[in-house]
Order: sequence, then structure tokens, then C-alpha cells
Amino acid sequence: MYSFLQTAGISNNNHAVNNIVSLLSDTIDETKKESAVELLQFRMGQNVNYNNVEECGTLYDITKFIPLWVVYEKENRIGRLESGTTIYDFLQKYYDWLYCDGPSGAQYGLSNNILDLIDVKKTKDNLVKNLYSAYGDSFSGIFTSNTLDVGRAELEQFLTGIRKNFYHRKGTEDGLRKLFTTLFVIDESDIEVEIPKRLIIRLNGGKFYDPNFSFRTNIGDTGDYLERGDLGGSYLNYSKLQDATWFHDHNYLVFIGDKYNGNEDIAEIYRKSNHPAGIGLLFGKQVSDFTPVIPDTESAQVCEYPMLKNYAAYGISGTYQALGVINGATFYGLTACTGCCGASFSGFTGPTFRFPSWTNLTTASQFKDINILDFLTLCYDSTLASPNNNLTCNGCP
Amino acid sequence: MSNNQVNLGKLEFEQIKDGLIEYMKSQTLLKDYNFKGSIMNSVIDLLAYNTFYYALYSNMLANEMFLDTAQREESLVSLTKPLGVTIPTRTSARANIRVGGSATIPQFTRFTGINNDGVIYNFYTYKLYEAGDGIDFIDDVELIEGSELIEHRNITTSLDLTRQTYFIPNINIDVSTIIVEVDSGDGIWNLWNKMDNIGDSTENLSQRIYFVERFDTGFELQFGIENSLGNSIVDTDNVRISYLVSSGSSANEISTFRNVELAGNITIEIVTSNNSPNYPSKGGLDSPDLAYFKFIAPKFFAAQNRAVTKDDFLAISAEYLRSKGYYVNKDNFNVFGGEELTPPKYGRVFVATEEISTPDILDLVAYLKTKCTVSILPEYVNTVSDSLTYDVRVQLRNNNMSVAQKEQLRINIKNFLLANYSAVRKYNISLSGIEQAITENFTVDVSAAFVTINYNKSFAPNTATTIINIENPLEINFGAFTQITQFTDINGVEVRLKAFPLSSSQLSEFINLRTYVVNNNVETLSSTLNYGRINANAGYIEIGPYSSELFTVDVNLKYSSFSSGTNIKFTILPNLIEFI
Repeated sequence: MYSFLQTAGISNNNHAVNNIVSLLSDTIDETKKESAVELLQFRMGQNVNYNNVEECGTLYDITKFIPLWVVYEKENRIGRLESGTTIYDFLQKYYDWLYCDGPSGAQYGLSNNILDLIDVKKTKDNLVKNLYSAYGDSFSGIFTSNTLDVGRAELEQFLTGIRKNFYHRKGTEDGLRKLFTTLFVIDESDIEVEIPKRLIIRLNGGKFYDPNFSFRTNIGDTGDYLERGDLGGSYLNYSKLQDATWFHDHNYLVFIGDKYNGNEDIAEIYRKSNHPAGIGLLFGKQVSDFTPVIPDTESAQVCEYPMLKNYAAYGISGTYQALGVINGATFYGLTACTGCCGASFSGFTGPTFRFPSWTNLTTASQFKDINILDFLTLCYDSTLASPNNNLTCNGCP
Repeated sequence: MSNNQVNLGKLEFEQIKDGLIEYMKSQTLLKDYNFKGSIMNSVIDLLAYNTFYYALYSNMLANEMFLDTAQREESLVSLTKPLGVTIPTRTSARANIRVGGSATIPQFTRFTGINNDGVIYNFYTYKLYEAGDGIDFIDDVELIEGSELIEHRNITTSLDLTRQTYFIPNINIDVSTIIVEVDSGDGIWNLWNKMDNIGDSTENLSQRIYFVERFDTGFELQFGIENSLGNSIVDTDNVRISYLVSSGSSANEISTFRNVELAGNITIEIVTSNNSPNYPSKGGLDSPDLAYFKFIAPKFFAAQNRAVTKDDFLAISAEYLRSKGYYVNKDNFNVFGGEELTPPKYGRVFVATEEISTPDILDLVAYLKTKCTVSILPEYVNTVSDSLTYDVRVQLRNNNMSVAQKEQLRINIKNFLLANYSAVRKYNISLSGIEQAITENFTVDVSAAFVTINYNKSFAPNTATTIINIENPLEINFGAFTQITQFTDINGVEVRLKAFPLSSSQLSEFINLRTYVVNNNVETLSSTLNYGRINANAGYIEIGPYSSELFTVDVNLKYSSFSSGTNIKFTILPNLIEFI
């Protein structure tokens, strides 16, 4: 430390202080009130964790700067049972204070090698974030969050070797697990990464998992497509319809257990540090959390439950008798009954009508962008009139 | 991340002195001394002054140790080295022009630029430009300013072959203009590439590369040495170097250029389109923008030369563009993943900026493709400007203020907002904390402030569907009507479009806007017209394509300053109009 001060050009000031106070020593000695002998201990050059400094004692010993005549005089005074306190005792206390990084000291970091400030394992707690600002910028949210509790040991461990341990794994499941287990102390078994595309229903050539409906099971030509490595067979009966949020080919789900469940800060840190841009992410979710959208029965909506009979005329096949032609396509179905007809098209008299919410969207030639969910729920604005109201089938086949 | 200065201990003299006295009093040996006595007081003063020097030096040293608190350029040069970023000294101004009358413009062709004070600066082309067949002009000719051009200087005999280094004793060069070429004896000058980061590949072991390290008096080129990266220069090689010495910022804002070297009837036109933003000349810097390097260096380190996260894309782009003389950051360069859009466009990452010329945009996108995950497609998207307004209501502490006093306060608050929260053509602007800022800056007069943020935009008559995607919840309640806009359609029918979500769940769904036909100021709900849809919580509105006149969409963002802990985070993502 002394060489550091010399480098800093401060050592000259120390000598100046020594010289001046030695001139004042006799005067000060006259003001002494109490006699005591201090045993000065030399404790220099030890690197100490800044956060462990409580009581400092003497970290910089000035004994070698005390003139011998002062030592001699001090011993004589003590021998005469008089006060032995000198200006040097006073100065030693000053240096005890100056070099102390504990709460009672000056706290200028002089008790240690000052370069320890950039050692993540030795630096002050409040400077860890400065180290992260250079080497772990994407984790800045940890230091501003009121909801995350990341310990000093975890911060040290994660930053040490961050390039090899995290950055080289960035964007991978391995990196994801390293992040949550190391920095946020989440149990490995609590972390789940699910890839919904393995659950999406796919064309499988008519093969089914259920042996009652399977084909060619004798040659093993069925099963999970991920296990098989091709689309030759799939769990058709357990698969999901593709959508834009949960079940599609560019999506993954990350669940990290209950410790930080619903915590937006940790989700933001994850997105910033490890989430590949361009890929969909549902954070804090599992596939089992998926609930299909169901009609809101408490709101001002009414719902229809489609009866096959009402829509029989939509079928295009030769099973039923031909009912009419629309834009060149022949529609087959049940014969119209009195009172069943809604909208009619160019002579077509089948028992069909347009769903109320689609009135403005569909024309005879355009289907446009009807929400596919409407096909399932058939819920519409209660202020619109349904052509099904008061529909009876008197006279219908 | 953190801009708070490191503070190791007290820095004020009186605080230091009080702390010292307090300590002395706590010591059994000295507790009964009178530290306010004249002599003791003098000694304490002396020691406190001594401590003051320690405090100043220790605190300065501690601050210079960390990237986010360092102030000195020399400190940042050292701190960014392990992060893979070399901080330049000066940067040359650049300009893009259009040149006619010459089929080719050779590399290092000199142009002169004259500033408004009549001072002449030299600008050079840094690559060969050729006009296409039958084309009279060469577009986007980039000129780089240089007070001195070092062209093909042979440094073969000056190289330190043992250390594989060459030192350029000039601190004012633009590092991005360094060109190193090596002839291995076959008469062909091969270009060697400057590397800022070794990356993770061992392929660099046998490549023609070199590194640049900055020193106080110049720059050192480091070629490959044994067991290191890159090829070595051998004693049979011929090596030549070219670079520009920069005039820095003084060559900015030059709009008049002449050519003195090309033969023929040379004409020079200025390219002023958005695709050639370097006009008048700009980008010249006398010293590096330290804030830029503090921002980008940690992100570049975290990227590890790959584009995975959004920050990676930004860092990789910034470093790449810096070599072309552009300084981009989150304010003037935006990156967003396709998953952030409504509806999402998975597998794509978009960049948007107004800072870069078209050829450089194409180069950037091609470069990003080599750095990002396979199957991810980086794309450029044109910027679209939108505007925000915010209405501010303040609660006065003194209800008896005169009209004049209120007017003066109103002007002061408005000026404060214009100075601090009015950003023009920027990305990622945060309006967080407007209310708090007002109450803190006008604490004498204002006890509380309330802000409503309004988004409005005018649209020309459009035959295509107009999409407004502001990605923030709109202030629309269910069970109530909210008028979005009104206009006259192509059939001359005056219509008003209103949102009427039936339930809370419909706020997050796409619902059709209700179309009301207006006759004699009487509204009638149309059962046949459908002019758009809305997703209130997603901030998505779709209108048309039926407008015959200019119309304005005007909605409030769903933000309440009454809610504690609410932050305004308004992100405008441009519509995907054009892709290159």
C-alpha cells in the first residue's frame, strides 16, 4: 500500500505531516489527560474482503517513523508512572481510522489492495453491479428490481467464467438452465422447457396411435413423430390444432417453478439475456396451462349450438338431393321446409343462413377473415337478430 | 447500466473532519482531549486535508476502474479492450454524392469540399466505383474526409517481424480507414482484414487478419505470432498500408464538393433521399463518443460475435456499421423480433433506421445473416413516423395564484416538457416518470401532476387497408362506445367508426368496429358496412380500405397517472410496409 501512495504522490504529504506534528509533540503532550500504553501491532499487506471489515485496528504501523528519543522519553515517563501518550500515538490512531474500511473508519479502500475493487469475490457489495455493467449488461435488472433476491454468492459465481458458462450457451436450453440454477438458485427439477410443435396435429397418412384404429402396427409404423424422427405416425388423438400463440412451429414455453412464478422482472431478464429474437416465448407457462377459449357466459352474448340438421345443406356431395347452385357449385342437402329459409341466393332454397356476426364479412364470393373460433362457439353480438330465433321446423323433413 | 459514481468515503472537507474527530473521541486513549482546542484543531485540520487528498485520489481511482463510471478516455480505452472493442481517436466526416460524367471513379480519388467559412477539406473515395451500362451517373459515392492520405506506403522494412507488429505514430487517424495489403511474392496484393474480436473460431488461425491496439501516441498493428491467431508476415513478404488522417468534426456540414482529378466533364449531384442520409457531410468526431462505447461495448462482449438476442443484433450491427463510419445506438437504430408484432411474424428479426444509406443497409442485412441463428431471417423495414401528445393537469399548492402567475407556470412546465420529453425521430423513448419530474421540478407550485397520453395520426385517402399498430393498450372500456374516427367513404357516405367491446375478454380480441352512417347528424348503425376491426389491449386498429378523404385516428393510451407504480412504456413499431 505504501508504494501505491508513493506512486500517487501522496507520500510527500505524509512526511510533511510527520515533520509538523513532531514539532508540536511537546505541546500536545502537555494536554494529555490520561496515561495508557498502546501495543501497536503490525498488520500490513493482507488482502481482505471489503465486506468482512468490521474492526480494523492497526493496518498501517508508523512505529518505524518515531524518533528514538521519543521512544526513550516515552519509556522513561511510563517508568515514572506518568502518561506515555505522544503525538505519535495520536497519529497512529489517525492512520488506524484512515486505513479502516469498517463502519468506524474513513472507508477509502486503503486497507486492501485497491485493485481488489474489481475482483468480484473481494469487492464491496455495492460495486458488484458495476462489474456486471461491463461483463453482464443484460442482467442489470437484478440491481433495480424490488422483487428479485439474488445473493452475493450467486452473483459472484455467475459472473465468474460468464463467457464460457453462459454466453457460449446463449440461446440454448443449456444456457437457460445455467442462468436459472446458478443466478436465481432455482432447482433444476423445477425448470421445464416445452416445445409445443411436438404436440401439433400433422398429416400422418391415416395412422393412429390407438391400436384399435392403427394400421400396419406389425411393422412399427406408428408413434410419436419426434421419437420416430419422421412424420410417419403421430399421436393424432392427443394432438393440438395449430394456432398463433401456443401451438406452432416457432414457439417454446419456459416454466421455472413457484419461486418466481409470475415475476415480470425475471421474465424480462431472461428475454434480454437468452431469448432468441424472432422466436415465440411463453414465459412462466406450461402446456398444461393451456385452456381453450370458451364463450364468456357472463357477458352480453348469446351463443348458438349448431345442429347438424340446420346446416346439412352446406355439404357438397351426392348423398342428398340437389338443392340448388351457387356460383357454379351444386349444394345438396335436406329439402327446404316452410319457414326455415333465411338468406337466399339465386334460386337456392336450402335451409341455410349466414351466421349473424359474419353478415358484414362474407359475400357470395368472399369469405374474408372470419375468426375460426366462431365456427366452434357461434357467439354473436346480442344486439343483432339471429335468423334462428323462432325457427320451427314445421313442415321440415 | 449504472451511472452512479462510485463513492468510497466522504469527499467534503467538513465531513472528513467531523468523521475523524468522532473516531478520535471514541478511542479510550484520546477520548478526553479537546479536539476543538486551537492546537488540536490545527492538527485535525491538517490531517483532514491530508485525508482529503486520499479521498480524492481513491474515489477517482475507483471510478476509473469501472466501465460505467470511468470518465477519462484513456481508462475507457483500457476497460473496453477485454470486451473486444477498440476505441478510435478521431473519426472522419463522410458524405454520399452522385457523380456523373465518368464511367469509373478509382479508389483514393480526391474531391474537395468547402464549408461555409470557405475552408477547403479533402475527401477521398475508398473503393472503386463503376457506372452500369447505359447509366450516366454513379449513385451513392461515399467520400471520406482526410487531411492527409497515406496511400500504399510500403512498410516492409519497418515491420517488427519478431513481435509481428507495426506502429503508426499518429493518434489522429481514422482507424476504420486502415487498409493493409500483402504481396507474398507473386505480385498480387492481398487484402488483410482488421479484426476486433477473436470470436470463438479457430479458423482465424490461418487467416489473413490483424488486430489494432491503441496507445497514447498512435496505433499498433498486430499480426499473427506463433501459437496466436492469424497468419504471420514473413521476411519475403511485401507489405503496404493506406489510411486517412482525420480533421475530425471540423469537416462536418460540408455541402459543396468539387472534383479535381477525374478527366472529362464531371458533374456532381447531391443525393438527398432518405436512402443516402450522409448529406451534408457528417459523422466527423474529434474524440470518441465515450457514452456510445460505454453503451455498446458490454453488449458486444455479451454477443460473442453472434446475433441471438435483440441486444446481440444491436451490438453486432453497431460494430459493423462503425467500420463504415456510422454510430448507431438504441436511439437511432431499432431491432425487434417478429414475435413482438401483432400479428406475429415468427422467424424474422427486423431492423429499422434512418441513418444508413441503401447500399450499406443491404450489406448490413447480409452481414447479420452470417451472424444470426440459422432459419432466422434478418430484414430491414422502413421507419414510419408517429406522433404522441400528452395532456398534463397539475394540482396547485396555492389556489390563489393569479391568472398571470398560472400562465407563467404553464409556460414553464411546457418548456420543461419540451426540453426533456420532446424527442424527435427517435426509437425506444421512455416517457416514464413525467408526473414525478414535474412535481420535483415545480415543487413550490405543484403538488401533483396527471398525464394523459394521446396518439393521433392522419391518413390520406387510401385504397389499401390502414393498419395502426401502437402495441400499447388503448383506453377503451367494454360495454361503452369509443369513437375511433370518422370519414366519408368512396360512395360519399359519411361514416363514424366506433369500438364497442361487449365484455372484458373482448378487449383482448379482434372485434369489428361498428359503422354508423350519419344523415343530418343522426347516426344509424349499418348492418351492411364493415370498415375495420380493433384489438384494444394489443393497440391494433385496422381501417378501410374505403376512405375517400383524409381522416384522423385519435385514441388515448390506456395509462392512468393515478395508478401507483405505473410506468409509461410506449413503443411504436413501424408497420411492415416495405422489405428489402
